[in-house]
Amino acid sequence: MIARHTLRATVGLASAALAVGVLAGCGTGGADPEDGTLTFVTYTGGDAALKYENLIEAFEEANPGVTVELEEVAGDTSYDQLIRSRIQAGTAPDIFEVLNGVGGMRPYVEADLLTDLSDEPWVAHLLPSIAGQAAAIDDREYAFTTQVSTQGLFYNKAIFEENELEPPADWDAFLDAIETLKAAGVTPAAVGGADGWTLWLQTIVQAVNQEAFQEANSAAAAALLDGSEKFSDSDEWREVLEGFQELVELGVYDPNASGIDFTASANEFANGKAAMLVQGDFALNAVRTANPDIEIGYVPFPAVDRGDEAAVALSPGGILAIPTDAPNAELAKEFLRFLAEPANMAAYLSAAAALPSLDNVEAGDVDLDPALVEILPAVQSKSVDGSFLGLTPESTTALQTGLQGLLTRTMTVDAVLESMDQAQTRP
Amino acid sequence: MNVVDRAGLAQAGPARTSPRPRMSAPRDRGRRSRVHRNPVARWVIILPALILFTVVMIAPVAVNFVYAFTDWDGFAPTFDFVGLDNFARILGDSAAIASVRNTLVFTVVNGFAQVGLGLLLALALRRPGRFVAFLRVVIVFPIAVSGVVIGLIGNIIFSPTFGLLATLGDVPGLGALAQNWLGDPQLAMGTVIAMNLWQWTGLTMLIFVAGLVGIPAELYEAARIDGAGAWHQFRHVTWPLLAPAATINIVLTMIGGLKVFDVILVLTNGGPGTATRSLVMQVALQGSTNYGYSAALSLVLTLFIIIVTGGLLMLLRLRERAT
Repeated sequence: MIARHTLRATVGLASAALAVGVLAGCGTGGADPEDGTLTFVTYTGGDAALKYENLIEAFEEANPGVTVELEEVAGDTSYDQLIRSRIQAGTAPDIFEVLNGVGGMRPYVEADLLTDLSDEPWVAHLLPSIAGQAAAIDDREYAFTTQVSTQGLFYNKAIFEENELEPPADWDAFLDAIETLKAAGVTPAAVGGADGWTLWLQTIVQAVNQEAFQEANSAAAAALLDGSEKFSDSDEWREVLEGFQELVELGVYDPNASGIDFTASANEFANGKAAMLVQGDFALNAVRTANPDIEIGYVPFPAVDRGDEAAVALSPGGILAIPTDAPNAELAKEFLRFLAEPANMAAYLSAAAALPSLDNVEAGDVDLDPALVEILPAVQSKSVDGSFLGLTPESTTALQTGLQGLLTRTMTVDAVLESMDQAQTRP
Repeated sequence: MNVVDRAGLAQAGPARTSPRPRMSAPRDRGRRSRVHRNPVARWVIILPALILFTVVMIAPVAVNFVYAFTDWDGFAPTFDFVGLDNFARILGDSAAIASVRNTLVFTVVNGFAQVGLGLLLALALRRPGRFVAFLRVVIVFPIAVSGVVIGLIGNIIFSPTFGLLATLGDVPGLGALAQNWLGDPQLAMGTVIAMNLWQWTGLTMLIFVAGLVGIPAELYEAARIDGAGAWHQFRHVTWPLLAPAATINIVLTMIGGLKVFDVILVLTNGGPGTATRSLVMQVALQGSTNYGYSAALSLVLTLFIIIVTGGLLMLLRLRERAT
């Protein structure tokens, strides 16, 4: 337990030392407003160099005398301390990547540290779910979201064709497909139930189709977060859990699903033992590694009534903000505008193997996995940010545990909701 | 009337027969006494260790104790004292209650099995010899295996898709082996205990073997002359004289059981649901976002271990003295 304090102290010291080092470094040049050097800080792990390399080169070519310095910093607890101490020391980066999504951006906005970007031309093209969630803080836009990651329903095209199935567009069609697949002796869907988060994901794709959660920073989610509404009393979460339970009762998953992990579930889907996989788009990598020849379709999870349009669950990535104290704020805005041009965005997304946050990027222009291309129109037509469903880290853990309970038929929906309430409440 | 009592040998445990080591040369004793008499020298010698111990052991425990009465979440710069709220919360937390129940089940079942199996193995492998020594090494070897590897081995054996047992289950007549060993709430705890036994029974055996080696052969000779069979030899010679080894083993497995964590983490991560979640896992889980509550849980766990093992130790020592 206590080791963490010491660790935190060490991290604090280290980042302080880092900040001092940066200060010393900048004293010799870097931050001079006149020299046209754009400092761009990202956190490691995002393959930033790979994704931005060509675009930075093109930007420098289009703007003679300008250089963009890309800095990659460890994206751990010290990241925000580093950014803040640089802002305080007057050596703010011109652009930095916000850690931990819109939630991570909030403290900066509240401290008035970010440049208002609401009047930038690309704002009109941001997907409503992306623009809305960020604007929910104070009605303004403070960042450019470069990409989104999605969660939805992968299906094996060959198996679907064999059984004369169309990708399901609503809940009834989904249940029909399940019956057909079961009758054909195919496990309808794979899930790695030993990894609690894979089960959590099965409910996120349902929850984003609950109307009450579809508005940015919805009242329903806010009430769950501040404790004024209990999960036990939430019709939305009850319906989601009952939906999951219904699928378990129907035998959608392998009877051993609780004993296999994510990788095993991806293998099961890749090898045609299961016809569907509800996962995030990152799962494509695991599936294609296990079976490069598989033909995969990808659609929003159809937790909707007949005739309604299902929403894609997504979360924003690569959120770029400009500090109010950025020495080259105008140039930084210029860079973001350049990045947001459809052709440049398409190049970026091809390198990042990711889906766009803008509605003016054409599927045909981006070199993406066919599965991602298939879901792109749905992403641009109707998507909901899956990180605003009223869950805290504690209730998320309780939800994951509870879903394992539902999967192994050892817990009731009521008991799961109650355990989420117990976890959400703080002393 | 039992054989050993009649032979007057019940007092003849190894600890009693070996004479106390004498203080060495008088010259040495003089030097030691001077240091003993000088309080400054004494403190100078003790201080470094004392400071280290205070900083790395006592202070953290004390700080943790304080946090148990606060609502600190682990991140916020401030916190409030909330009295006994955290402790009251444990009683209403079904996951925490489940983790206490699981920990007790694990401790009792694993404890009996580990000490019992360890004793049987020690008795079977007590004779010296190359083959026996080889077998002992094989049985002790898993102690050296790290938790991560245990997780991999567990997956290789128990996975319902590619595991050894699932594969064997395809053989006619062995179908019962194809179970969802780690994913079925009815089986998961048993599987985890089996894996823990695989890892730690060797240590228990080793301690028993050491105890057995210390029992003088003459006692068995005397018992045999008095007509004692194998069972009576065990009951009246081996078992009483193994008391110190048994005490150590029982207390060690008890502590190990109450604070079990890694083997569960790598095999089931406490799942499915809360079926195998232990108290320490619950503490760790809460520690990341609910520091105060987590500290209260760990305080309860610590008190629990102190009371259970302390009481047990006293009982076992009494038993040792009685024999």
